[in-house]
Amino acid sequence: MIYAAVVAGYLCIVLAMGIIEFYAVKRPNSIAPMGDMLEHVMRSRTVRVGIIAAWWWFGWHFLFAPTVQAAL
Amino acid sequence: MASFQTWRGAYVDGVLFYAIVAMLIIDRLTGGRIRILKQPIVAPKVVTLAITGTLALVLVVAPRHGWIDLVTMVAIGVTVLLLAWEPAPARPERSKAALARSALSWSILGVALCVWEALAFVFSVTMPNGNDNFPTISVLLDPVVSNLWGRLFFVALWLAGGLALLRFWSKR
Repeated sequence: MIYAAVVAGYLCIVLAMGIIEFYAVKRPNSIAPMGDMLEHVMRSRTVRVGIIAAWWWFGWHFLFAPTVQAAL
Repeated sequence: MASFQTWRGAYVDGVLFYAIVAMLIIDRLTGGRIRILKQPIVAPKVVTLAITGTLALVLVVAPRHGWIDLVTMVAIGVTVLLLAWEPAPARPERSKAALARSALSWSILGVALCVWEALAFVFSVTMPNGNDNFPTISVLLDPVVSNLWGRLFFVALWLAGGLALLRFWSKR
C-alpha cells in the first residue's frame, strides 16, 4: 500500500510534467515549452554548466556508480 | 545536492558536485573570465552522431559499474563541460512572461520530484521495512538499467537528452 502510494507520487509528478509540456506546446505564448525555457536560462554559464552536470550525473549514477544503497 | 550525496554515503558523487560548485563560484568571482578553449568546438553533425553512437554502444555492452563505464563517463563529462562552458549563439525567444511561467512551473515540479525522492530515501533507510515500502527512483529504475534492452533504452534517451541540452537537435 505504502509502496503503491510512493510510486503514485512519482507518477503524478511525471504526469504533471507531461501536461504542462503538452499545454506549453499548444499555447507557447502563454507558457513557454521546456526547450525554449531551458535555452533562455542556460544563457547563464552557471545555470548551463549546472544543468549539464545534473544531466551527466544522472548517467553516472545509473551506469557506473552503485545505484542502490541498502542502509546508511 | 553535494551535501545530500555526501550524507547518503555517495562520497565520490558528493566530491564531484562540490568540485562543480567550487568551479562555478570561482568563475563567478572572476567575472566569468575563465576560458577553457580558445575557440568553440564545432563538429559536423554526422561526426557528433557517430561519436555518440559509439559511446552508446560502449555504455550498453560494457559491464555496468566497470572501469570501461568509468572511463567512458569521465570522457563524456569532460567533453560536455568543454562544450557547455562557452555559450551558444542567442536566438529569438518567447515572451518574458511565458518564459517566467515555464521556469516557475518546471522549478516547482523539479523540486517536488527531488523532495519526494529524498523523503523516500530517508524513510527507506530509517523505517522498518523501509526498502520495501519506500522505493527511490534509483530502486525503481535499477532493474530496468540492469537489463540489456532497458540499458539500451536508457542510454539512448540519456545521450539524446544531453545532445538536446547542447542544442544539437535544434533547427532554428
